[in-house]
Amino acid sequence: MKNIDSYTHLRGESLFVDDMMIRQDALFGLCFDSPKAHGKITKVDYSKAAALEGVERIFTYKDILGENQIGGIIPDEPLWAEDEVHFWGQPIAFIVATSEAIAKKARALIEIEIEELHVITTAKEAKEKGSFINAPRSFNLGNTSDTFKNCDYVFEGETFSNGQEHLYLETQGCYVEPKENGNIKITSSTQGPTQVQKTAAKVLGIPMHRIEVDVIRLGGGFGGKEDQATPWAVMAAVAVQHLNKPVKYMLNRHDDLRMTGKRHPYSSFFKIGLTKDLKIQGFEVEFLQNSGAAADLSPAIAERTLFHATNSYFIPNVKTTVYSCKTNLPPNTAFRGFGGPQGMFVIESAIAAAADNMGIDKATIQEANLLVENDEFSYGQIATEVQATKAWETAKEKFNLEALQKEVSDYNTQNYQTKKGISVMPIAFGISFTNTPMNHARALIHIYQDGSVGVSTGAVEMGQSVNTKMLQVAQDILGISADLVKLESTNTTRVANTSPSAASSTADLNGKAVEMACNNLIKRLQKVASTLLSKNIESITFQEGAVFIDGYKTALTWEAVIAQAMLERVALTENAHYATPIIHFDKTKEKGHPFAYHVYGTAITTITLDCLRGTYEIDAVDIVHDFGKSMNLGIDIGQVEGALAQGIGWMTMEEIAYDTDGRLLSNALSTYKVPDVFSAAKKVAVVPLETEGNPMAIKKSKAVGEPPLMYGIGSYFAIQHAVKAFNKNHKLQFNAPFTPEKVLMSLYEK
Amino acid sequence: MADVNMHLLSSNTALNGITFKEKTCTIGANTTVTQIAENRKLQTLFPKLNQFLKLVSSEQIRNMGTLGGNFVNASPIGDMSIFFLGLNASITIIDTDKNERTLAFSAFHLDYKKYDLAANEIIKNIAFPIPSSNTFFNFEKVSKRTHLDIASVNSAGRIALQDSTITDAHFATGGVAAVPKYLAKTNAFLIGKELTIATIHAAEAILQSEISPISDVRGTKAYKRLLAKQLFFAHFISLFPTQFQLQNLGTS
Repeated sequence: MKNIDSYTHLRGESLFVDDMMIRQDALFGLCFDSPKAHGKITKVDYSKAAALEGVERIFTYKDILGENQIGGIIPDEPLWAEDEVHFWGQPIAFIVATSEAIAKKARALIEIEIEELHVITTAKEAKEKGSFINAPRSFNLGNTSDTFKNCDYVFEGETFSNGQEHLYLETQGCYVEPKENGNIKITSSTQGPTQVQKTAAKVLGIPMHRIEVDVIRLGGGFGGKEDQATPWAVMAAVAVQHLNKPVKYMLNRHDDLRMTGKRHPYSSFFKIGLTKDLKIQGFEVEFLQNSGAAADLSPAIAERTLFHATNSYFIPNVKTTVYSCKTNLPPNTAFRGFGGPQGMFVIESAIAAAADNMGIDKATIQEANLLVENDEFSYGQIATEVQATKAWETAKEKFNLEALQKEVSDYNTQNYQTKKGISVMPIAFGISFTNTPMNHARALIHIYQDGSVGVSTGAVEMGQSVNTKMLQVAQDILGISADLVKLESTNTTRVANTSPSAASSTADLNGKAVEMACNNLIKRLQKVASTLLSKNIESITFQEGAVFIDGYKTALTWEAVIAQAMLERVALTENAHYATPIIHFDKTKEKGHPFAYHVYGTAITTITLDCLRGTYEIDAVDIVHDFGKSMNLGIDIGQVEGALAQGIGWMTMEEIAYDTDGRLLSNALSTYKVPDVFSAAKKVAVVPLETEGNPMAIKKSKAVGEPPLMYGIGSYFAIQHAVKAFNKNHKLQFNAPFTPEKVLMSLYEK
Repeated sequence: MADVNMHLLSSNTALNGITFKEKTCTIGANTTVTQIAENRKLQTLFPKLNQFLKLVSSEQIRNMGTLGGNFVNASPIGDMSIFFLGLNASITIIDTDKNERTLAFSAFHLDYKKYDLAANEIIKNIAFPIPSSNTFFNFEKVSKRTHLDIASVNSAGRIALQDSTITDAHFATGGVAAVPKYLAKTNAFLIGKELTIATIHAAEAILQSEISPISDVRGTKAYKRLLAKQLFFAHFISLFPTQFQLQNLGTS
């Protein structure tokens, strides 16, 4: 089945926040933000701005009737700064005017004086100065210090991976309307409707039931709208609370780039020990996460870094520690992979460093250490239904790895000005929110009396096609055609207390709830049909819009059963709640079974380097991916390709730059580049790994949102391979992204 | 911008068009990059024209963006500025009283974002001598992303040979100075020299003395210097592949 939004997307008819019909008396909001990264606000003069014709009012923290607090995990972030600012772009006030243009003019008239304080932009400096978000965390398995003594090879090194801008096509935005009796309706481009509702209630000082949050769809989220869609909606809600008029606020691209957090940059220090048989015996890492000025989701992201620090390898002795370092950057936040990619980059770097020092191929070490059944992860979970070796072997065979390696090596012997590079990138990614209490979802299904069906869940559609998958689940169980099923908007009054659409888990959690609700409805309808046909309940199934007896179609239609159910006063609405079984995690011991299952796969990346100019092209990425039993291969392959492109961008050209004053330099699309169709990869092949699938996944179809992003890490090491083929003097560096600049400097390093 | 009373030049068709007269090609300031790319005669003169111009912005922008616009935007890294500096072009300027003046394009850009154009003047056209059969032209550009990106360093140059002696040379490099840099000293040095590896290396040393890149979001100073060297070599490797390769040119 095609993505159910494809028709309206293609025609430009799909509705986003900016397409909302707004009330005639609607006003327009605009945030005034800090022009310095750290300091004390000594004076703000709003008088000229407020006097501008068309400016309705300027709101500050003084107008907040509840709490000036939006921190989710740790309450450390005000909605609007009070007397100090901690990052460049921190919201200070909110201008509401009769037009966006007037609000913009007014913003330029605000005068602010800031007594500047020392600015920290790097995690390393924060660590030196003891500036942290919370206490560090460590995962331990075995004993690394004893192990290193018995290793034949021990290597140490340092890595850096930079941040990444989400660059959702639709910028952050909301439209907020007053309803009667002080109730408020928020339409927001958010991955977390409940988070918006809860935070708005807290800041406005009113109960949650007074606030309704509705989400039609997002023009991309990638994690950037998990926590950071909230402040804009809350600002507009504060204005609505005071003015009793609707307020719309869409951020323009520059404001969005400047004020929102990104993927966390990480500086990391590793130590890896191997024995002669190439087995990795010990691995230690200290991760310094650049969290930015407030916690946001950083502690949870730091945790996932530890969960994925050993990628798809079994290492018997592991010690990993992560520090969430407080700096004066915008609070960094969720981004597809959620700290996992940053963890995996370090182990892959450590293996590359070891291979380079030992004079062997990186893939040889990788292959020798792949996870097998019943291996233990550093956090105590025992790996089961492991597909690491099978994915590796399948990729090796299907894509003829040995021939590819030889081709690269022959090419490099025969060519001087251009060189080729190759790398293999296996992945193992855990599926579930690592915070166990978040693994739940609900679905509300109405069968209308004409037989058509409305499905509401907590899932937010953001281009990942989760609504299509929800529709497939419902349609399949109810046995009716797709055009009888409609996916409703995600709305807190229909499905409450939801977890954000994140962690690759949205389809699993919400799909399981849809499955349960539909099964419950079917049970009631079987009874109705059984009476009508005088047949056993067990013999009845619903398929092709009709009732089947023992697998044979009867003349009794779906619609007729529903009509009869109405007459018999049978409930045609069902609400179901799903909570992932089995999973648990004890943070005091840092041990448990946090993941429902893991997703595996292997990617082979080949690149060609122009050693004259320092530019490169990604020739091919050949992937074997563990979809389980994919319920929609077209959509799932699309997710793999998109994630891969995003991963390649993170590893190659996407370069976030702040100056030492904490000002974002890559503050426009002219200076921040994401891969286009030419630079992603010339050829991408995705072969599904044949497996049984996992019963914890919806229809045994494994989660696909985040895992394939990490195939992009392979591009870094393929480029590195080619650089080394040209310049034997090059000392390996692990400093992503591998931009054309770093490539050229490495090619001609003496 | 909504508050500014603007006078749009794009509707002025008199400034649009490509003409060939005797030994000169003249291109109106309102001519778009796409018009240049699609011009048959220019394609014949520069067989790699399309390849060069595909590196300039995007198709949509090439359809809209004009030469005059690129020149007065005055970016030190402007692709079309470098392209025409490398062609040894001259620029004609016209004022509101229809007085015209013509100057070497290399004299147009004065300092960072400053150029020789009075408030009552606009650029009328740019002209370059039509290359003869022993003239060779090349354009190079390196950016973080190949397409729709601003160059870290770009470079263009035309060189004329009589047997193996350089009779004329016009190289220019962008992103290495406050203005799109016409490499006057390098060019002067090349004229009259034999086209050899030693000449190219000596010229490259002069090139380095002429440029003054700064570190910014497009790259560090050291990178831009190295890239200026590489792209200078790339011209010769691209134009005379049997004579020059990275092996013999770049490993010095």
